[in-house]
Parts: sequence; C-alpha cells; structure tokens
Amino acid sequence: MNGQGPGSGGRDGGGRESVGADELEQALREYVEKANASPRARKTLGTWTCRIHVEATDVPGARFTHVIEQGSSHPVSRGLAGVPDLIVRGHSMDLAEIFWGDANPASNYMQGAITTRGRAEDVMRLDAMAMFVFLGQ
Amino acid sequence: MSEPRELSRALNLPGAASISTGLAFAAINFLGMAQLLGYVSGSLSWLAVAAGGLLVLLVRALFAELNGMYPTAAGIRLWMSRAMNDRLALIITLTYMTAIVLVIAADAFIIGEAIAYSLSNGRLMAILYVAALLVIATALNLRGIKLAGAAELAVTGIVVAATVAVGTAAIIHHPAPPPGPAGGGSPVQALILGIFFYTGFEWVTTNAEEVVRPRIIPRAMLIAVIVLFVSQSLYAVAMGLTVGRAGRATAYPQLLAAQRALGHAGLLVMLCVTALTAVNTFNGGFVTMSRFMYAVAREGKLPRTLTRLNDRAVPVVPVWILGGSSLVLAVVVAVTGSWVMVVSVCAALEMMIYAAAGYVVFRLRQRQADAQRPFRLAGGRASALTATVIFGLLALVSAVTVGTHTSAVPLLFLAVVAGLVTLYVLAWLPRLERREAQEIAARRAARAAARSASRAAATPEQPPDAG
Repeated sequence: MNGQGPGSGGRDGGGRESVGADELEQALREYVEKANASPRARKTLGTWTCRIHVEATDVPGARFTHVIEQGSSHPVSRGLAGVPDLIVRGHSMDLAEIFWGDANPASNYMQGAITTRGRAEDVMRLDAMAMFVFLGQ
Repeated sequence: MSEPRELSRALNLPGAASISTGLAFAAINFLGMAQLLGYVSGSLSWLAVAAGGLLVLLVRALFAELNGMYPTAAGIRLWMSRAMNDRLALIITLTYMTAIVLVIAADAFIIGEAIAYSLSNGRLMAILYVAALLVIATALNLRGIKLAGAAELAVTGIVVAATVAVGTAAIIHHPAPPPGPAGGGSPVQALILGIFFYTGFEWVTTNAEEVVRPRIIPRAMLIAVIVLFVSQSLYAVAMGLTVGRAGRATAYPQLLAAQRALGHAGLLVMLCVTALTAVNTFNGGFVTMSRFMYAVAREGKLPRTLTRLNDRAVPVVPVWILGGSSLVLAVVVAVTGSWVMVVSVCAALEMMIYAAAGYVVFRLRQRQADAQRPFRLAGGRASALTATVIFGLLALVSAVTVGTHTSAVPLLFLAVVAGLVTLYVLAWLPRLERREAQEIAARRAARAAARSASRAAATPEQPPDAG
C-alpha cells in the first residue's frame, strides 16, 4: 500500500505506476458497457450469473462489485457488496490494463499477476467476456 | 487486503477429498493391480501399496508446499515457470498432459471390454462400446454438462464403498488361491505400481481457488491417500486370491475377482463400479484438460483456434481433440492389446511430474527463499532433491518396462510425444508469441493515445499570462 488517496493515481511502494480508484472504476464501467453491447458475449454467457468482487491490492478503496445476471452486467458499484462467487485481486495497473483491453487476462492470470478465488468455470467465463469484448470473437 | 470470509460456492473438505480420491481411482488401477500380482503374491500385495503410499506422502508434501505458494488452477504452469526456463516448463507440462488423454482412453477401453465380457460379446463389440462411451462423454462435455460437487462426492463414495465391500467379501469367500506370481520382475517395479494407484490425487490442487481455507487441499490429499491405500490394497489382495495368471492378463480382472467370489451379482456390481470410475475420470479429465488448453491458448502459447467457445461457453476444439485422440488411442489399444504399455507410459509420466515437482521445490527454496509458504516440506532442499532423484529413476524404470518385461516401447512413445511438443515450442510458438505481442502493443498504443486525448480535453485551457 502506498497510502495515496483512493481516487488518485501515483506509484506504489515498488515504484510501479498505480491507477487511482476513480480511474479504475471508470475503466470497469466502460468495460461493462462494452460487454453489455457485445451480442456474442450476451449469447454465450447467457446462462451465467456471477457476483464478482474486484480488489486492487495497491490502492485503498479500489474495491468494486460487478454483478452479472444471465449474461448481462449490472452497473458496477463501489465497495464489496454481498457474498461473492468470484474474487479478482491484482495490482491496479494490471486490473486496469485488462479492462482497457491492453492486457490479456488469461496471460496475467497464468503468470500470477492477478489472483482469483472462486470456481474455475467462473474465471474462464470472465476471461471469455474479455475475449468477446476486445477480440470480437 | 483482508482474506475473504466466504465464497458463495466454496469447496469443503469432503468435496475436495472426493475430487482427489476420484481422480486417482481410475479403472486403469485394476489393470495395475493385475500387473502388481505378477511381482508379489496376493496376500503380500498390500505391502507394495503401502510402500507406494509412503512415497506418495512425500509427493503430497511437495504439492502442498507449491500449492500453498501458488494456490491457483494455473499452478503447474506458474511454479514450473518460476523455477526453470519457460520453454522447458511448457514442454514438460504439455507432455505431461498426454497422461490425461491416455487415462481417458484406457478407461474407455476397460469399460468397453468389461461390458463386452459381461454380455458375452466379442472384441469388435467392445470397440463399438468404447466408441459409444467416448462419443457420449464428448457430447456431454460439449453441452457443458458435468458432475456437481454433491454428485461427485456420491459417485466416489459408491466406488470406494463397493470396491471395499466386494474386496472384503472376496477375501473372506475366495476359492482355492491360484498359483503365485510368475516372477521375472523386481521390487522396484512393484513399488512403481504401488505408487501408480495414487497418481492423479494431486490434481485436486487445481481446485485451490475454490477453497476458503488453504489447509483444505493438503488435508484432502491426505484423506485421499488413506482411502486409496485401504481400497486399492484390499482389492489387490482379493484379486490375488481369486484370479489366476490367465485372468490377470485380461482387460477386466476386477470383474473376474468379483465373479469368482460372489457370482454373477458380484460381476455386475464391479461392472457398475468400473463404469462409475470412468464418470470421475471423464468428468475430471475432460474438464481439466480442455480448460487448461483454452487457458494456455488464451495466454498465447497454443493456437488461437483452441479458444473458440460454443454457446454454452465450452472450449469446443479442445473437447473435440480430447474426444478424438482418446478414441483413436483406445481403438489402437483394443486392436493391439497393448493396455499393459499404457500403464507403463502413464506411470512414467506421473513419476516424471513428481520428479519435476521435487526439482521445483528445490529451486524455489533458493530462488524465493523468503516467499510465504503456508506448508513446508520437512527436510527442505535435501528432501526435495531426494524426491527428484527417486522419482526420476522410477520414471526411467517405468519407461523401459512393460509388464514383467524390459521394453523400450514406452520410452520411444514418450520420446516421440516430447519431441513433437519440443518441435512445436521451439519452432512454432515464437510466431504465436510475436503475433500476440504485436496485437497487445497495438491495443496499448491506441489506448494510450485515447487516454492522452481525453486528459487533454479534460484539462482547462490556461489563461494567457497577464502583462
């Protein structure tokens, strides 16, 4: 933790650039909008319901709840609400790069940059969502 | 950051223990028992299973340490790439995945043969049953149908309970014991088969993200080792007391043991048990392997076509490849009668990965000496190195042994698979990685430009300096 303000960016203790909570929230909101606008994502993930907690490990207050119901994402809310099906944790920059489409979530996951708690099926579907959004598959 | 207090669908200890046990308790274990009885007499066969269990406790400690450091489904990729060159890690991992295809193929073959024997059909019908089983398994997987936790627990419970019950009954009611082993083997080969009964139990570590308390996975592995010891040693003894050399050379010695002790009813019970073991094997094998292939392809290390999902979010191409390759292998095994070799190859692959796990613990104790380790292997680097040497030697012995004979065929098979994987990793993979890097760079550049533009638009224009 670097003790910076929750909404601001900056650098973490290791000198790596952090993304502020506001910017991360914005990235997540845009990502969710793109997912909802993707017919392929909504069709393939149409039976998927999942409550996801997203937590940045380097920015206090950068915690969000993303609820997907029958393939459609609800608006992202600040804070951790309810009992999650899946928890995604990582450095704010790693998380933001996933939501921006700059990084491949599977690659970050396989290299240990982000960690998850929950069922492997949910992790795979979350990755698939990113694939549909950014690769248009 | 605090640890989560709960997950909505967390895996508990009984569930994890049943996964660990179910993955190890495959139909091919019965063929392993028949082979074991070529080296030791029935009444002493439990000693080999016990000795194997003791070495497997060392394997458990290795995986507990690695899983504690990297509690993720991608664990094997992660810890191997931390300890060695990423290319080498990928070659070992992809070669190891052959074991899953082989176990699925072997289980399908064994069930096909068992059904054909029960219905007094010939080899051709057995092959048709094998094909039907694998087509059904592939179709169910493509529809995204898999056993849920409670069903998995029930299936494993039935398999273990029925095996113990039939084994105990056979020991109590066995006819005159058949002649002992033909000899020609060695205690080392008996030990390898003793270990073979437990192999696959460590795959439960891929469920590490589904547990809230980290200690559940090592405990589940311990329970699985105990349950496997009891069930496998009991049935090995029962088989040794009831089935002669000719019966042990068939693909359904477990049915003969039950039939000799309990008549047709016993045969039907063990037929059901054999079929149920495949439910776990197919369920775990198809899901684990297809999702792993999808993840590695998404990572950019396998062709992108493997990431194609159907409308049920199932990776279609990996499931087809798995179903198709298992079918081809099962038919080849049925036609050539080479199931004994499948046991050798699977055993060699498992010993290889255990040796690799020992090496990784050895390296990481040095490279990441300060890393948090919820579970530590007793004896540290010395124990890890000992495990590497022991399992490395056992892998070599497995690879040059078929039944009680010395044969280079398993080693050649493994060399061909490893050679093809190496060729792919060294010759084809760099192209995939270059393409992936170019695409990510392009997306990053586009995003950076968009961020700069939006920040510039959001910054209010500076008023001109007064004066």
